[in-house]
Amino acid sequence: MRILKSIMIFYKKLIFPTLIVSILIGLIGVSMSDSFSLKGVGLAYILMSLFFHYFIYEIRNPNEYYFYYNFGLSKIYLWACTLIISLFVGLIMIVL
Amino acid sequence: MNGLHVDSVIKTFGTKLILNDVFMSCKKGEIIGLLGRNGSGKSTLLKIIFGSLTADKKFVKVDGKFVNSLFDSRNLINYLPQDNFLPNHVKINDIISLFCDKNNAELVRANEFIKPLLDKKSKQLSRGERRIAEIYLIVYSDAKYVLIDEPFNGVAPVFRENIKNLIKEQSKNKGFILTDHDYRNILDIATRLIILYDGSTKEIKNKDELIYWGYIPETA
Repeated sequence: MRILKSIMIFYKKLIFPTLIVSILIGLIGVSMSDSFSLKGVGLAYILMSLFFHYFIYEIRNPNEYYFYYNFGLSKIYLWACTLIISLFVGLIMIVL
Repeated sequence: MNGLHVDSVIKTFGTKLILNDVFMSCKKGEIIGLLGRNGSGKSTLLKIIFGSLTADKKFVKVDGKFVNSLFDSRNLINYLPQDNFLPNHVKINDIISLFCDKNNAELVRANEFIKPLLDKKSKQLSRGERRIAEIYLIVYSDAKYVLIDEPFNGVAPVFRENIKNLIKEQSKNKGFILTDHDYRNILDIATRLIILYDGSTKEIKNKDELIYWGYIPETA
């Protein structure tokens, strides 16, 4: 349960910036193709979540990793979590 | 085999040998003071024991169980790094229940220093306040062994005594390995002292030996 909660805390930090940028990319797409593509937003969400993971945790707050290390979550595990959760969310958007 | 046993730790950075066949042990009830000059490898050793840094060679066992990775060390070894590590978007109150069991969580929440910080996020705290919160979380955590890198860093003297008493009191339930550049704080509470010198650990008995190993000047 603690592991799950700490993964939620970890991923929560990525949701807001990733979603905002993905929607903006979707809106830029509207101006180019005259239609809003949820597929494009979904694809952008997957890619941008990896970018924000790198920016927020590797560049800005690398020491925060130690918080998650104390729950047994390694850096590789956290990268895998970001990828899996984002793929799940992104694919839902693509399928809809 | 009870206790934390660390043996045969070898670590090199490039061609520089930092740790050379290091041996160390810690039992429940012990407070090990790990001393050494800047760059002697204290933090490196703690990170290797914890599992966040890979070593060229290492052997870590906790109460008979091999610890090779971070996943193995969960609930057994917790580590407080030198710099603040709490996520800045979560309230202290929410973090407490992640680190501590129900009884310890209540004790931490009721503490006079922690109480005013409960509804604040880490980013709203000063560096010293964050450090105090981190120390309480790690000391009261469920882990059997706690590694603390410079606990008194950025903490006001009035809180230092409190932290020392806290570590002493909690050493009844777990083992501690501490490092700090202010060796006097370590001497006050350590039940055993170890110095890292030239990549190896040496057990020391008194302050004179700190002079002998070149850790403090003769005038200290």
